[in-house]
Amino acid sequence: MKNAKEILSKLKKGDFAVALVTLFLSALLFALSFSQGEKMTARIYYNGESYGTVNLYELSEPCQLTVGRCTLLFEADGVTFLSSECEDRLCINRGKLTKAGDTMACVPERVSVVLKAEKDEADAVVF
Amino acid sequence: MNKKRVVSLVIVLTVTVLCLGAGLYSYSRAKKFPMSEKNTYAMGTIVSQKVYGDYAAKHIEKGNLLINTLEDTISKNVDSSAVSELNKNGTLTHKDTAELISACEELSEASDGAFDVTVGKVVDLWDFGGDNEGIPEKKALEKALSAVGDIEIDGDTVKIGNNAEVDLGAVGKGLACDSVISLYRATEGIEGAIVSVGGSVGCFGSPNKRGDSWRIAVRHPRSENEFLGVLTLKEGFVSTSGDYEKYFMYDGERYHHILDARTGYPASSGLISVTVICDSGFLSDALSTACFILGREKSLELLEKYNASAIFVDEEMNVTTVGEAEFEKR
Repeated sequence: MKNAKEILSKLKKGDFAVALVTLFLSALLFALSFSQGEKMTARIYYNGESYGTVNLYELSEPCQLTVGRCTLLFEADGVTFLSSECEDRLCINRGKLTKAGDTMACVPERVSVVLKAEKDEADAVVF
Repeated sequence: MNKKRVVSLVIVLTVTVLCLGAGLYSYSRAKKFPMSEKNTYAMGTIVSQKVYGDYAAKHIEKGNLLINTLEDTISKNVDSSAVSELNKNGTLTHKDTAELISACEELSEASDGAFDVTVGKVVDLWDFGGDNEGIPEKKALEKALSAVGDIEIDGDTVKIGNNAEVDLGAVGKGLACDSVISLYRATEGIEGAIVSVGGSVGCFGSPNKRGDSWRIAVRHPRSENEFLGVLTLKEGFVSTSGDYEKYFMYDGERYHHILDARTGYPASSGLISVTVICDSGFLSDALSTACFILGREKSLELLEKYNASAIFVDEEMNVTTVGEAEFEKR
C-alpha cells in the first residue's frame, strides 16, 4: 500500500491522463467483446435467395414492400405480412415478428423474413 | 529524470499496456469468423444454414444439395424416392434406407410401439395440412392401423405388408441436420456451423475464436411470436415436437399431427411440447416424437438409454428439464 502510494506520488497529471485513457480503451474493448446490440434488421428472402435487408432501427415511419405476391409492412418494432396470394394465410395470421431470431415464411409464395440483431438473441430457433 | 519517477512510469505503463493488450485479445477472440448464410426450402419447411470460417461461402451450397438429395431418397412425397418405391412395390433393396428403417424399428421397440414409421397410411387418413384434413372414419382407421408394424428387414432388403406404408417424416429433418453437420465438420476451413431444418437444429464448433456456445431459442408452444426460452449448446442436435405445428380444432378439441402409432389418434400424454437434445439429429428428432407420445414419466427410461436431455412443457405450461440441458426459461 505504501509502495503504491509512493509510485502514484511520482506521477504527473499528464501521466494519469494517459493511463486513464488507456484503461478506458481497455474497458471499452472488453465491453465490446461481451456486448449485445439490439439494432434490429429484417432480412428478406425470395425463392431461397437474399432479396434485401431493411434496417428497422432507421425507420422513422412504417413502410410497405411487395415481394413476389406478398406485401410486407416494416415498422421500427417489427415486420408483418400484410397480404399474400397464398391459400393457407399462415403468414398473415402469424402477426407481427418482433424479436431477433423470429422467422416467418410464406411457403407457397416462397417469401420469408428473418429478424436479426447485431448480436442475435439466438443463433437458431427450433419450432 | 528522477530515478523514482522513471520506475513509477514504467510500472504504470506496464499495467496500462497489459490492460490494453488483454482488452484487444478479448475483442479479437470475440470477433466472429467470416459467416455465410443461406435460407432455402426443403422437406416442406425452411432450411437455415449459418456457416463460419474462411471457406464458408464456398461450401454452403453443398449443404443445400445434400438436404435435397436426402429428401429425394427418403420422402414419401417424392415419387422417385426409395421410400416411395418401397411403398409402391412392398419391397426395396437399398442399403442406406434399410439401415435407416432398421434404426427406426429399434426405436419403435424401445418406445413400446408408440413411435413407428410404418404409420404412413394412418398419417394419410388424417391428412394434416392437406385438402382432406379431418378425423378419419373408424373403419378406415382400424384397417390402416392393422398394418402398422407389418415390416421385415433382411440385410439390405425391406419388405412391408400390403396395407403398410413407411413415412420417415418423424426423422427426416433430424437426419438432414446430421448429414449437413457431418459435411461441415469434415470440411477444412469451416470453424463452426448451425443448421436448422424446421423443428430440428444441429451445430458444431463456434462462431468465434473464444469458443462461444450456440444459443438456440425454443418456440413458445402457445405463442408463435415468443420464445419459451433459450438453450445453450456447445455442439449437438436439438429437435422439438409440439401440438401447434399442424393441427385443426373440432368440437373444441385440438387434433394435432403427432399420432400415437398404437391408437392411430393424436397423442394425448398431457404434453404440448417436447424438445430433445442429444448427439444425433436422427435420434433427437425421433425421440422428441416418441417422448411426446409417451409422456414425461414414460420417457425417462428412453432418454437415459440414448443419453439424451429434454425439455417438457405440459398442458398447464409447466416447464421441466431432464438431463443436462442448459435451458434458460423466459
